[in-house]
Amino acid sequence: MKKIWLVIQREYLTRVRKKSFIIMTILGPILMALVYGALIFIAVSEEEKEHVVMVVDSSPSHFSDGLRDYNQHRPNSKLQLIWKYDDYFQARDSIFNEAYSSILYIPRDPVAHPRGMYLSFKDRPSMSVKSALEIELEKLIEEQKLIQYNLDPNIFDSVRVKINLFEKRIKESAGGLEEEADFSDQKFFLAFGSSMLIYIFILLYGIQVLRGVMEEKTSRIVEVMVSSVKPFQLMMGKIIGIAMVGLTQFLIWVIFSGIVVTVISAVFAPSLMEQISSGSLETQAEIGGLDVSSLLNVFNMTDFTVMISLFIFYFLGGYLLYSSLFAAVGSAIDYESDSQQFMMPVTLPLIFSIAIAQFVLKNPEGTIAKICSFIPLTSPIVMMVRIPFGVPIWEVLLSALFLIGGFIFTTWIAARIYRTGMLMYGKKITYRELWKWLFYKG
Amino acid sequence: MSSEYIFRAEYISKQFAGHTALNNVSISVPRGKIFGILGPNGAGKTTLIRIINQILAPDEGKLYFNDEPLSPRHISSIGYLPEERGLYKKMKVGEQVLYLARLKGLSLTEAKEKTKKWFLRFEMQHWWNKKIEELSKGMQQKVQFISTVLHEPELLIFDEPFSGFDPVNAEQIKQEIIRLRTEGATIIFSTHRMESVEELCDHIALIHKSQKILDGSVHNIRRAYRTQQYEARISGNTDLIRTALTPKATLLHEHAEQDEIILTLQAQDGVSSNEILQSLLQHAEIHYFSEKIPSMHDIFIQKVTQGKE
Repeated sequence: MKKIWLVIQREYLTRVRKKSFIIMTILGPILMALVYGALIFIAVSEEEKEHVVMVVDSSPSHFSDGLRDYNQHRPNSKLQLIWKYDDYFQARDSIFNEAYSSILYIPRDPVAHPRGMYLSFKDRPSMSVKSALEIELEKLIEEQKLIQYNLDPNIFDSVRVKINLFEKRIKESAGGLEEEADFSDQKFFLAFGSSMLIYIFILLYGIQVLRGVMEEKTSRIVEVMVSSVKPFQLMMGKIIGIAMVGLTQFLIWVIFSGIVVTVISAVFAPSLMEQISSGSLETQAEIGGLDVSSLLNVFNMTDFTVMISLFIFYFLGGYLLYSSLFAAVGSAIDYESDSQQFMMPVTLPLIFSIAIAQFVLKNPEGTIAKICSFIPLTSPIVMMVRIPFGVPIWEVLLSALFLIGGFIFTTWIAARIYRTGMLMYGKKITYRELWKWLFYKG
Repeated sequence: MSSEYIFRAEYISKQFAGHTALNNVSISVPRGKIFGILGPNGAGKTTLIRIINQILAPDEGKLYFNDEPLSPRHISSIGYLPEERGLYKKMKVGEQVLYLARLKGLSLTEAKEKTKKWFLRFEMQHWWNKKIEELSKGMQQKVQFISTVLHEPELLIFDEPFSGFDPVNAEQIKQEIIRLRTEGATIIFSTHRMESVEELCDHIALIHKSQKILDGSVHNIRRAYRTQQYEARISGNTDLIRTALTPKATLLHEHAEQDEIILTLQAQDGVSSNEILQSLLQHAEIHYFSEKIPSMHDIFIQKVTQGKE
């Protein structure tokens, strides 16, 4: 054990002290902050230009009069409506001489034939301007139709309801049946976020394991090493050491990003809020509406600790499983150019699991989701997607058991390939050869 | 603990996917001696050494260290310099040596103390903070040598220790190896260069085509391979000498070199060197007389080519 600890120490310290680690650790959150800042900046600054629309209303009822006070009610809107011409062609003739960018043509009877309306432009209006205009027109037509059919708009409003089903899960417990609220949107976010994190971590640091093993092999240090430590200790020390490097980096990133994002939000938030209230940023507002702090309301504290511990379990389990395979690959090959061929079978199930994660998100209790959450190669990601939506305890236990078993099995295989591969030079490795290595004595 | 042999391997066999690397090889390494494992390339030397280091396990056979079955706890009593040298290129020299020493079971303070001592001896104190990749090949070899011997193991195993050293450094390493033996260490070293064998080895085992074909003390082996041939440098009349020698010996070869004649004589069984000398003395002035004891090189070639026939 003492030797594994020494190996872990070396693997950790040499990596953490590397310039590239320090640079990436500092640069990572700055880059993230820049991306985040850029997004906010774009959101804030993109719609700066106002779009002036000349309304040409040829309806005898002066349909567009309902829009006359639009700009009074919404002084911040980028959509500016003006009236001047009654004839479309007149308006068209002056479009390049006057300060309007589009012409909204309203036909004689827009309520009966709403498709007769069109928008001609010299500069394309933005999506949000167009949709703002469409919303206004829809409202007007609705009002007119209500009058036509002699309906009270107030009644109509109360008739029209938007449904967003509140979900509750029924559970059997000692005291009978229990119900608890189920917040799909937040769970969706949590499921996707945590499985993505596992995926990125495994890929990023699994490949570091592969590189580290190859470095030892190509620099021929390995023969000295295995005369002092067992190959298994060397391999596990490396895997654990690199995991700790990864965790350190993640932790620093989380802390830094937290700080930087808070600062940037504080700077940009007021203008962003203004935009949201002005209505021109409705879609963004919806996304932003998924408040992370509301996640805490989604789960009560015990559920939250269970979730966190399961996340850590699948996170580490998945990493250990895959990195031992990466170590085996690293030990079997001589040159980095060979690595692609042998990395494929290792990375494939990983990519597969993140690819099916979206289907699992849609239907967390489907058959494929269930099967994949038991297979150790896919369970770290797939099970993590399912957990926020609630998974029966026996399924979690079985999947965890399989993952532990799978991990022990892959490290066993990896250690055998590693032991032989590390001292094998200049030999073209085939899968058949690898298979033989598993059964060498020693 | 203090039996005659520090290390014994009995009937070791090892197979690799279809080919036999070692076939029933036994060696006994006497304590406090330098033991050479000789053999042409590909004979199985490195496999045997890896088995001694517990890097590989034999398919058959038993291994004993100080009469105990060899086990991982003996690792700290063994130092190993592999033929393929290698160090962590990005690591600093000092850290590297400390790391390897601690893996052999030294405490940090012990390791530091001993490293400093060795760095002083090799005059490389100022290398401590250099990265391995900044050093020349020869310097790297020295670092590797130090990390092999630092934990003062009872048994040292050097695989081709002089490869990669220039003559000056090779000599320094040779002196260090002799000094280590004087201080009580036992040394196994493997080589296919025979010059170093006679200078250094007390015992040898010759491995060829996965089998041990010869072993014993260098002295005894050379005696056993005596051919009762003598070389003499004389001035005198060879015809007279030839008749004087019969029937004790026959003259195999003669050639003149400046004012000397160099003779190669084959003595008959049971004829002592004194008797031959007496015969020579009657007719010639003797400048030089010596028994032609075959060198390890000759024996090596002889045994290896025999095996081919």
